[in-house]
Amino acid sequence: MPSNDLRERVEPLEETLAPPAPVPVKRRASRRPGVWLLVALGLLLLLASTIVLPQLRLVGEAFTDDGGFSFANFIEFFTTPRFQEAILNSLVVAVVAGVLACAVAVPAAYVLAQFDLPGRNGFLTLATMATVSPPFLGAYAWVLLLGRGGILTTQLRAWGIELPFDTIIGPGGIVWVTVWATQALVFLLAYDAFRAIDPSLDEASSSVGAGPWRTRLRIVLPMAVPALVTGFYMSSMKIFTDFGTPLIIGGGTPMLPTAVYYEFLSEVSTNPAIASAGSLVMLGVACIALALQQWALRRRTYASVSSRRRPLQPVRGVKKGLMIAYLGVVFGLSFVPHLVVVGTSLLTWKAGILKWIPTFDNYVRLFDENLEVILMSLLLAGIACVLCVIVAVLVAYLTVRRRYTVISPALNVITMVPYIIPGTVLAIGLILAFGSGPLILTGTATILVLAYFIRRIPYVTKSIEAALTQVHPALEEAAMSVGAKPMRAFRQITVPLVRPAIVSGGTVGFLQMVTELSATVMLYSVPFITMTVVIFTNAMQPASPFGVASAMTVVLMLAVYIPLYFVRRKFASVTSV
Amino acid sequence: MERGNGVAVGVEAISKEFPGHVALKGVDLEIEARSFTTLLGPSGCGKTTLLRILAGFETATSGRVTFDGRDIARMPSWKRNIGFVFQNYALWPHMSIRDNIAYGLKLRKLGKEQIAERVAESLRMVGLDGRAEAFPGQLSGGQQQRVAIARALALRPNVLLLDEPLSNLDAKMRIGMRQELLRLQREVGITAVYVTHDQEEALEMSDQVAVMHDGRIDQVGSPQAIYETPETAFVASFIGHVTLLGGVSDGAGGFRPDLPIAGTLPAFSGALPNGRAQLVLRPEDLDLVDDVEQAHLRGTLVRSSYHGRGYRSALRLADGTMCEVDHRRPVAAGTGEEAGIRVGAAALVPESDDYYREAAPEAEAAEELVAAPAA
Repeated sequence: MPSNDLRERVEPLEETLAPPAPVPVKRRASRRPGVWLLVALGLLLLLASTIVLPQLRLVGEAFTDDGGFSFANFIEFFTTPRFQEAILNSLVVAVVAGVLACAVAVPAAYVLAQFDLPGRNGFLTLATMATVSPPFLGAYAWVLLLGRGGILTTQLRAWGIELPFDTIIGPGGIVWVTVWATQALVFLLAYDAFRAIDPSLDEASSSVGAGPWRTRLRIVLPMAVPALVTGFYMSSMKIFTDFGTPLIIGGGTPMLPTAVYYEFLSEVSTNPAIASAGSLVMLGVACIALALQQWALRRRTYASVSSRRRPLQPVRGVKKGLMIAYLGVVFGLSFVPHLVVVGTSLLTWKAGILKWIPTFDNYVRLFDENLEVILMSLLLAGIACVLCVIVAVLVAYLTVRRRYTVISPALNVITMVPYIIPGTVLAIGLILAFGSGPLILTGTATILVLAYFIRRIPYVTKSIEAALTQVHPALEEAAMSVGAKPMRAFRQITVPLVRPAIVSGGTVGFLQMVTELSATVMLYSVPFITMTVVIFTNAMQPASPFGVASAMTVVLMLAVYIPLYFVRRKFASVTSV
Repeated sequence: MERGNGVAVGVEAISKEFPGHVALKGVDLEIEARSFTTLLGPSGCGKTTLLRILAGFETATSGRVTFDGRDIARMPSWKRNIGFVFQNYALWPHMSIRDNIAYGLKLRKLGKEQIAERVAESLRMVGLDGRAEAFPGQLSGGQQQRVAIARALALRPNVLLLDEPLSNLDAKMRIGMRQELLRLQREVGITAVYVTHDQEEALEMSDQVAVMHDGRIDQVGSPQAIYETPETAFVASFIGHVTLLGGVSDGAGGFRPDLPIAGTLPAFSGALPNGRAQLVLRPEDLDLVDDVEQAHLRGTLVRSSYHGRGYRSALRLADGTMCEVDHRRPVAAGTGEEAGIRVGAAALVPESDDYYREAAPEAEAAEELVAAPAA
């Protein structure tokens, strides 16, 4: 019986059982203010000045003319034919390509979710890979392939085959490229939705006499509508805000992001005020799209009560072959750009013309001339990623656990704001806010880091928040009950428990940062050049060293897919969605 | 038994308001050092809030909390030297059992050897020696709860606070753990405050039971006092099965029910002033008699069933009240026929409509501490 030892008392913790304090009769019913409140206030200040302030500057700029409040910029924006055309083009392309992406992806997701097909995990991996592809990769590769002097165009002409079009460049090219670039997003959302549908709903449908097609159209498809709405919203917004694709493959088609970019940065005639008005129009469209999506989802959340896994139906013969062929075509076309880039990086280029001679010269030249660019890209994205994760963990904790009355909701809202800010708009806001005034950041690496941080903070915060709501508050209380102060309890108990979300959220954030183009291209300055900028500039110039650009794209792809591979191996459910 | 380091706990006029509702409405409670006190009540009565205020997880809106007479209301939980055992155990899933127990000891800057000694000793106390390297996920619920208790006791706290620690265990384990917990508490000589909605647990384990109801303590007393001489209709009806009969107290220990009764009722506890009152009848204090003339009360037999140790029958009294009676001998009357009830003992409480009606408070489901990694 160890009772002898038990009598000896632990030296109480410092200040334990302190002498009686004056008796406060009435106290405010709140948690103790302390370190966390200070952290919250600090974060609020940081996020308000880096996220809210630039957007306010943008609004100010847009509504100012001759030093006074005015709608003149908007009037000019909406009455200039070039901008009218840009708005129309952007909306039409976004909607058309979004619809086509859904049309392509939904049947593919359905057959993979419903039938027992070989290579299921392969297709899912490909889909995840496609969602983190560099955004302009498709445009770059398809131009190389089907541009006026493209590899395939010339080759086919040499064989006497005439294509129905002269070049892929043009609005049609934008749609073609963006459909294949965004279908995977819809595919993954739809796949998860189809898999989650309670199988007894289908059974119930057939038990009352509905045939398989009727069940598909009346039961299964409606159940997947929320995912389709979200998929359509995400893919069309990605297309709407895409900057690199229309510039590379648009062939001068005016689109909103490019028009705003030229208005702000072109060497001929810049007008920041009009560009700001244009930015606000883009932001307005993004807000309306989000509102529409939320409205469409409002009465469409179906709670799934079943925990029974949806069985995969066996299929064989011609049907099976057709299904696999379809999936093969969809993902084949989505990965044509990747293959083109890998292929062209290993072939010889002479003055912008491809010679079919295998070589490693492109890579040798790449590492000779552009090693700094590669390292700079990784460094900038790495720093931004670490910052992003730290702030995201703190914000998530403050909103899930601390719940300060005004500060926590404010933090929550501010971190979500960048979700709807297109990269181009973000960059203009940052230039307006930090290009003059007390704190000048333009021309530094800081502004790039800041842009990356802001663009990804909503996503990283959401994923950590989701993990944090799964950690019971009692775990932290238990630590405090045995003597840990709040910060220590947070560091030693809570943070290790959400580590998977930190690692996966951070990795996906990093992938998106290292491939960021639309803000980077406006904010970068020598010597802080990233791979995306170099590839983009190459793609824009005829007769540039395409081989080196392709090799760099391959390096960029490796920088994306290697981390993705490791994270996916560890945490099976990582997607960029 | 050696005297441990348990402190006396005082609760004075504690109130707690949350936005939108008042959880505690001025609670007073004296807890003797090294005693075992249970806060008993249905969910939502404020018992867990009171315990969390003792732990320092919540701050009272007003009132005082004292440990050995010293006010600690403003002391944060990490300085209070308490042990807290959670309903869901709250073991840190990313630490081994050893690390779980050693965590608080390390914070107290104990030497390595001393920590190892304490961990081993605590695990021995709860009968889990040899499992130090396991992780919480590898242990059964009962074992996890023992680790949680060991973790709390390893620090030799002044007060052990337990929040429905047995409610996630299966029935058999629960009963075994009651005695084990009590043994540990006696052995260590710690002051224990135990929250439960299970009246059996409260009666079996406690030196003192505080029955809570709607943010207040209705009655504090020994298990016997709480059971045999309830002071309110709520206490009477929450503990055990009762029938309440409305009537008028004459102020001198007498009671005149609204129903017609035959003969004189036996003396009952609880002296009340003149006015409306209720008589508390427990099934085991009643008997069924065939001779209706000998009965105090009459009712129509609704059902009768055999329970091994005897019969329990339900009768509908003249005013519609259902009255349950335990009796050894089978009842002669058939269903729908009249039978008589003899009252052996009863208690008198002030009339109140809000006595506890539901049979058993729902046990809150154990929440997952950490969700399984997403598939």
